[in-house]
Amino acid sequence: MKKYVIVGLGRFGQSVAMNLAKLGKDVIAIDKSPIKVEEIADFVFQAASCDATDEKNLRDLGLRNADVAIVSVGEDISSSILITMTLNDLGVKKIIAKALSPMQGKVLVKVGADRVIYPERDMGERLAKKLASPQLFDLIELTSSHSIIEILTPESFVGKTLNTLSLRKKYKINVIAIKRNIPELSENGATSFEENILLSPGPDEEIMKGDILVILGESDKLRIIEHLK
Amino acid sequence: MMDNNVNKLTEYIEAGKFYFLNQKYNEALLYFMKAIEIEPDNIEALYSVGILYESINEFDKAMDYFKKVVGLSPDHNDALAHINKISKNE
Repeated sequence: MKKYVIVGLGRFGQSVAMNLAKLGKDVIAIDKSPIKVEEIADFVFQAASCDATDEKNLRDLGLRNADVAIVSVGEDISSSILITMTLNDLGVKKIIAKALSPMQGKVLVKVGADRVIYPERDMGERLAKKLASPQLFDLIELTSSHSIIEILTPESFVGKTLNTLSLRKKYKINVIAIKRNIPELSENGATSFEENILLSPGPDEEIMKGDILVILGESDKLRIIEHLK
Repeated sequence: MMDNNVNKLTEYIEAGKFYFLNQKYNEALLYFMKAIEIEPDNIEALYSVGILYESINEFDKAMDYFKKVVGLSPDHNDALAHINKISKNE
């Protein structure tokens, strides 16, 4: 089984560690602070409190066999650099490092990070886009020019089939799924609903009020769709 | 007169539920609102409107109605659960 190492248990590191553990992965969580280590100890395969900038400590933990390491020591960039270098020397197969700025990212790649992530920047971007377009529920940027978006169905789509709307022809976009809540009554007779997802809906599928459309396409075209009424 | 109103109230709520189950949201809303007109504090009608709005992803409106329900009945666990769920998503 793949072994994951998380160095730095701030909010981000802790969340990654917990979620990987929930998915049943072997996680080794490391932080300088014994309190943070204690908090997570019950949930992960192994938790250790040590100074990760000291190569000996990382070696003693047997991190040589680790498949993926996530370095998220926060704002302390010098520690991030040292830890990334050490993990690279130890032969960890894939190192993902958290950075706060593109400059930090460049340095981390130079010292051996395979991938750099900018959680604050990415979250900020996502939130800004979401706020700018209230119809937009979620956005995943696949490349610089293509994305997947989740939008609330524009009112003008309601009652029409995908075929009639011919979004593929008009905008070169594909509706890859429809999230639709199915109304029901609960045992006590109160109204309720069940969340449902229709994957790759066919051309005859009729769009209903309140549907969330999951659409893949060019980001420019998707922006047009986001603003349709 | 009183009995008549009670009957109407029940009828409107039932009609609202019927249309809701058939995904006719505008009609459902109309009937739930008629019920609320007769009895503005009717928890069943207010809760149903909250559920209706949530099911069509209009969370702000859903939240207003769930809050009304909790205002009238602070232990309404279902309404509280929906308020929690919506706040988490936003």
